[in-house]
Amino acid sequence: MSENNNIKKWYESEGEKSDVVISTRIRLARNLNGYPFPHLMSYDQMKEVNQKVRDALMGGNSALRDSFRYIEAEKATAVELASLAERHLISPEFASNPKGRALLLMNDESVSIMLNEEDHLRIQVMGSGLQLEKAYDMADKIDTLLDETLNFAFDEELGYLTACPTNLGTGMRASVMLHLPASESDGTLRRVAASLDKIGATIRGSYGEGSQSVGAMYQISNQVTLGISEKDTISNLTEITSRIIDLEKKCRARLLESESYQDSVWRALGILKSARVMSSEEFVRLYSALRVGVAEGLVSGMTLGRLGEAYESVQPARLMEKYGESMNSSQRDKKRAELLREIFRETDIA
Amino acid sequence: MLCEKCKKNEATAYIKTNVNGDVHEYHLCGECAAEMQNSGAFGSMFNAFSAFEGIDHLFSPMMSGFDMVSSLLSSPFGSFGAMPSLTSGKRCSVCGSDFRSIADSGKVGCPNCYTEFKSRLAPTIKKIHGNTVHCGKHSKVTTQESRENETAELKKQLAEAVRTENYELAAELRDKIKAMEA
Repeated sequence: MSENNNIKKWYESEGEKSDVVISTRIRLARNLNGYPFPHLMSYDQMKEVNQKVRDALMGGNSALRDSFRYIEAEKATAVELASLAERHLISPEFASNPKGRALLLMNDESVSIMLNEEDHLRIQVMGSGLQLEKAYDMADKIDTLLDETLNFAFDEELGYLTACPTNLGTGMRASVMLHLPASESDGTLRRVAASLDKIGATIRGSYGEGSQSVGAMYQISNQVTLGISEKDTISNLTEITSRIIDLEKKCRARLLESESYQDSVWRALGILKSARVMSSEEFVRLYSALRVGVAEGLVSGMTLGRLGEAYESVQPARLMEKYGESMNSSQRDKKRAELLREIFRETDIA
Repeated sequence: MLCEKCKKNEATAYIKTNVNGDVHEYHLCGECAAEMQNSGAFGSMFNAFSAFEGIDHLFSPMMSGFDMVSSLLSSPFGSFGAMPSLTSGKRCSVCGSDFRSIADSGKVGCPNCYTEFKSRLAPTIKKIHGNTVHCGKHSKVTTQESRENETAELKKQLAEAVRTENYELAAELRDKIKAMEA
């Protein structure tokens, strides 16, 4: 699997409202007429669909032919697949069942198209910070380009036809990943979360519904896909997100007045700058504390974009991909600490 | 193993429900499974069979909002045979799915199933999304088709206008058709 290491990846830049919003994602589910949905497809049919989509995107006349690379999932190693899943470019389910599946990946990794996951195509656009409209525009552009040659399954009443009826209609899931340490710690978030489903949105901890959020990262997304347009879905979600950002900012302002909170930020920096061994669990905790410090100006010599890059670079599969697939967890913990010391060398108390 | 409910018949259905980590297991005979299904004792899992399966895994690797396992001990679809609402001989002409296999897997077989099993899927779709129809982006193919239908309709009206010598209307229709075909 060749990589374009010299191209700046989407998560290395910071976007709108990035003090609270980590990333934005738009996903469109699309299917081709005349084939069963992936759970019923034969291996040969999967290959056929892969080829059709690949030709549509990377064929002679396509405006995007040079922007993508094609990755056959079954030819990638387990570590490569895990690393793609860590970066949310494929789902963990896709990574664990690679047979007959493929991925079309844009060079800056902002667009990935999973082939033969739950649907024939899952077009995904990721961006840093809050940029739902921009991400949708990109997804829409790619969808329109593919629709020129592929015969997408569509029904006037049901919209885009999907393997699971929950995605009928627009086939779109719009999500934002938020960092909400302050509103989480004082209980504000719990009250807000309870009311979200009444307005058509869901909130989950970064490791799923019912699970404790890790590093105060939460994902908010739209629930309904039928009977509401893409534009309205996005403006609803943007509105909801803006309100949660306001809440978080208010809670942060209160919290930052306390000396013990400031102390926790600087302690996190101290450990990141000096530790010799660092597990990923500990890293996520420290990352969460430090992210607020960088966002609120308590720390100098670090940007949110570089922090995002640091986060991706010390994930387990990423480390193995770069420094040896045979690394065990204690070797990784040492390597992680070493990289972090280097990354935060110039970072200091503001 | 005897059915947990009636304690008379052999249990042929194993049903496991997991709602946010609250796990229940049932070993039931076909009759009791059908009865419990009809009474709604399993929540909505048989009817809104897929309401929770479309959840995204991308930001949430360990997500399992609602996870229904129904592997049947004797024959693969044994106990579902006892459920009249799920039995059907009809098969989709494209993928060969019947409604029972759709309900069992929580996934529709192919795009064509939505046409072939339209009335049977309707209650589930209504349950998930409410009583509504698509508004939003349209696929190009369909848009073109509907445009062709529309021009065909206008051409019919034009012919009628000419026949009845309503030339003002005919000119109007002709311009419209021209614009649409451009």
